[in-house]
Amino acid sequence: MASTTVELEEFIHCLICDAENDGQAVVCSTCFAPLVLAEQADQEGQDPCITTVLGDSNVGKTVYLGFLLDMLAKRAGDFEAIPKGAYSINLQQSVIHHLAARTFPPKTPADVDQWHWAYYQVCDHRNKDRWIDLVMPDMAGEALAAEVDAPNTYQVIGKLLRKSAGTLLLVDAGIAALGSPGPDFFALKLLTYLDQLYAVKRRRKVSSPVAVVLCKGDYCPQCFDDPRAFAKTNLSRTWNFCESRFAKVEFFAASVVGSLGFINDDDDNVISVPLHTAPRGILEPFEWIVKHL
Amino acid sequence: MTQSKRAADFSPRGSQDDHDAGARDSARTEVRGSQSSAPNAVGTTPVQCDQVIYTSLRSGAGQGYRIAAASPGLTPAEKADITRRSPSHDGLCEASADADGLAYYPLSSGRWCLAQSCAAGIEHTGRGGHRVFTRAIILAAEDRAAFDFDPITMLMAMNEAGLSDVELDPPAELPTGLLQPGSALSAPSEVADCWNQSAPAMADALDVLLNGKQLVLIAGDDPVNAMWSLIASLPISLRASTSVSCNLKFSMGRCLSLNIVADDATRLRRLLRGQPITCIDPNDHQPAADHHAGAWTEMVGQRWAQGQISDLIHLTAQASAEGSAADFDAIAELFVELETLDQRSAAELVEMLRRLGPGDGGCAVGPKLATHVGSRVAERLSEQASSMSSDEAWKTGTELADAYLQAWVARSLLAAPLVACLEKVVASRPTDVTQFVVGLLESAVAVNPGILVSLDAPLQNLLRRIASSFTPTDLADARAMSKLLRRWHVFLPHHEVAGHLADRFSGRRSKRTRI
Repeated sequence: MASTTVELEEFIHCLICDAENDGQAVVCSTCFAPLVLAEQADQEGQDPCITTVLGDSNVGKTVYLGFLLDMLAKRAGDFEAIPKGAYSINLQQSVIHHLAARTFPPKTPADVDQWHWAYYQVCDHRNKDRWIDLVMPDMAGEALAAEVDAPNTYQVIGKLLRKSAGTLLLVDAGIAALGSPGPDFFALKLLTYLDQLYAVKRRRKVSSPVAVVLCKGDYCPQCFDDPRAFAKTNLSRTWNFCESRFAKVEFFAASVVGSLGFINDDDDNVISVPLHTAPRGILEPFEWIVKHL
Repeated sequence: MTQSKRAADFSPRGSQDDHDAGARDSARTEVRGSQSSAPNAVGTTPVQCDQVIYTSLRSGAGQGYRIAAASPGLTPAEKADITRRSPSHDGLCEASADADGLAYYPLSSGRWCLAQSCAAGIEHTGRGGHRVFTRAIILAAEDRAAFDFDPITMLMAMNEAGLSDVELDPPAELPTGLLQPGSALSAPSEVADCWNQSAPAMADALDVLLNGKQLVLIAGDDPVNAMWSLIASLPISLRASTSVSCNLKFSMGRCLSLNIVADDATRLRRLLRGQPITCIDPNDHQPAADHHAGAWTEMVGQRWAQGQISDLIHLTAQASAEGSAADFDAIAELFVELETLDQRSAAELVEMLRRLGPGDGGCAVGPKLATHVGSRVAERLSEQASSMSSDEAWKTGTELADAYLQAWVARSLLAAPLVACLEKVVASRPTDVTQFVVGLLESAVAVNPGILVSLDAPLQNLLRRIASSFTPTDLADARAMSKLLRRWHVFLPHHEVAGHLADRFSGRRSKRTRI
């Protein structure tokens, strides 16, 4: 009878922090990122492009990323995407499943080992059938806020962003349109954090592409008309900082939900219910990022 | 809004044993006595602590989980530590509305954080699940001595001080809290039951902790008592450095020394693969065939099996010196030997004393335990001396002299059995004993010039007793003895000695007998 012997590597280096780990480990013992990413990068023979989705808690990172991955898997636009491993599908499955049930997906826990990670091979047919390996984690907004406030609280975030080829910065356009400075300040904090991470000299701008995505556009449809003008008006601090420090930056509007209902829960909280989905502007920021990678 | 609900309820799952409570109090008193340098080591001086609230709230600073309120004494680094370790959405093992959890861990500043978490209503963003509310106290590392370094005792003090209430609209700044050290309870009998129901798994779990490794214990049925039994089984010195989480969903970023969880075992085993963390599931535990529990673990297991909780707490409180698993095993062996002191020979007792010293191959058990064991052994040796033969007493006395010179335990403890042995010999060999004692005292002073006469009072008194009952054989004998004794300021009673000599040598009495 034929037998097969699988020899496990004695050590494996984390794709995110390069720490050496036991060959059998599932997550990195230093930054807690999944080691399957490193295994797959090894198989492909090249480091993937890491694209990070940033934003405050409850801004819609999970929903945006879930829908983006789902659209890529459905060959939206001129993209063809192949998920590498079943774990890459968990996020989009969860998001689609929950929205189909007219609920938003659960909050992403701040514990790094509970984040969803997606590893996709994406082919851009409009760009000479160029294939890119993409790694996209769904980070918790709380973890991002904590890391920005006190760097190294979550080591993985800093290390991930240093390796990122591009960033999607999500801002709650609905709240910003109401005149709240909160989204503007949080976006500004994230951008200054990025600026410090890349630590380029004052006269040089950060070359990594940053797509500022005005989320929840269904709350303020006017942001779709001219996202740049919307940002200049409602996110002036962010706008100014982008102009000063980032060489490749663009503004987009996006929304996933077509219409919302509102109910009160048992604790009298007002809860929004996604009645149906009508994704709009999901793919454009990604297209722009891929173009500038 | 202050809700009447408390952040968590880790009160004992069972009745209170008054006898044990008393024993625990006495054990605590002893520990505090040994920690004289600790600011709150004595009395009932309240312990000051800072406070933190970490939960998910809508505020001007944003929404989501973050530190909602804190005492002004917290540093940014401490806040970052607490943020990283506190459970956020779906962070509790149970999904019910009355779920709770605990975490107890050191901060980078050196202070320690004790955090209670609980479900506090529905997550306000409508994304499912319960809001997790965490309220924590931060206290200086040395202040924990006032609670025997026991997180459950601290937790009860926290509850009694009213620092556990759920506040969903807290003020930005929380006041400094005061904890009463005297509010501790003892482990109820249900804790022993919890250990005994899974004794092999719990013993292995304790071995893991004694070896300084990280442990995840899947204790779905009774996590609080499982945590309690393991904490109560640790030597107090190890307890002081053991961090704990209970009922919080396991996360690599929150992995502490002891993690009691009710998680899915399959998920956990997968997550822990290749990590230096041991996972034990009492419901599916198979001890390794070649594994032998250490002496400490065996001693603890016996105490739990026999329901001797107060004895266990007393013993663990004695082990106040830091050490390895081997050191704790040596301590346990000493404890076991202490129980059979009556059956030990004098040579074995002296050997026990030798092991208390820091000498070659000796076990450094710490001054507190050395004093405790040393006093018991010395007491037993003193009792045995009365029934020894002269030769045996001389031999034991000379061996004890070694202990005395090298100070295996406090000299004041050794003087009593030493004197008891020598007194058995002094009637037949007064000069030898005198020479021995004088030589011993001089050697002791040569080794340590700081020795005070008061420490050697029993030996000085022995010399005085020898002097008062000395019967010389001749004048030279009297002169030699007098010369010896004078070196330690003890003088022969000249008239009596002269009388003795006159009686012995009647008719040959000189005009003046100078001794």
